[in-house]
Amino acid sequence: MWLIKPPWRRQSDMPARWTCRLPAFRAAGLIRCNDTWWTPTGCWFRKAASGWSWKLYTVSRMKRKRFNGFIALESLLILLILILILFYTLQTVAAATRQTQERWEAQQRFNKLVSVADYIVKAGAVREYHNTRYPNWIDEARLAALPLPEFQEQMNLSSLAVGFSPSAGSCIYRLVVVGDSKEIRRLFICAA
Amino acid sequence: MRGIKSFEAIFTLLVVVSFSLLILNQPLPGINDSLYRLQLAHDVWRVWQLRGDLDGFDKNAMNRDADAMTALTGTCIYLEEEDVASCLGGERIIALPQKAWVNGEVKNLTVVLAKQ
Repeated sequence: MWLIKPPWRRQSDMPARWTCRLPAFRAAGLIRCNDTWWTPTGCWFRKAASGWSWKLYTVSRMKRKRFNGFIALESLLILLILILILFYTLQTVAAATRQTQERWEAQQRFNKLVSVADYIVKAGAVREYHNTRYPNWIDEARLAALPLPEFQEQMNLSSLAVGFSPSAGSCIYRLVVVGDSKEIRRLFICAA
Repeated sequence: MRGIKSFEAIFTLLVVVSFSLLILNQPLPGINDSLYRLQLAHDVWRVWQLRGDLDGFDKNAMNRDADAMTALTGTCIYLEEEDVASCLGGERIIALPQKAWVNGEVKNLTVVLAKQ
């Protein structure tokens, strides 16, 4: 802003460092139009009944003022779009993360079931004759004596059930033979 | 010009975000049960062994037991190299190579579990 220090102090609303010196107007290249003096940068001074009034309007600022509404609306629209994009992105990322986590947990639970099942049909509940184990030949007494709560705790499962019929939760089964008749049956291992 | 640039930037951001989300939203693969399928095929072989079907390579007994196991599992069970089958399967679930003593010689066999 091109301004000069004032020779007077009468305009109480005029900040001391932003006022203009009238005698120096012409010398400083100011243009008079009616009773208003314009600076080259658009600052104007007007003689009013109460004395000299002034405004710090520059030409560019006056021009800007004309577009202020449009700029505010445009900014608002852009902000709205950005918020929507951000919201959509966050929602999608959250959903994808949740889905991945659920799948990972399901895979973990399945792997644990497979491990427990393999242990049971190969060692934990199989028949033994003369220190020889017979995998997949289930000894029902040993099956009933399996330390399931211990397995459950070690494998961090909410529940664990083993039997010849499915129970609550996710189940897998293994093909086994049972008893002296070697009846073919499914051994279910279920966990939640 | 400022408005156009802003919209251009937003459009670019939208494209980048959409592309990222497209990559992120790739369908997740199902549970990997390859080990379990292998164990099931091995179970079939063990059941044949335990019930003595493989001692004399009794195909009738093997067929009968394969039928029983198909009734339990809902999958077709067959030996690829021999005429032992519970049903003619569709898509293969697992194929497990095994060796058996057949008529005085070691024979390479493949236990196949297939969808019905």
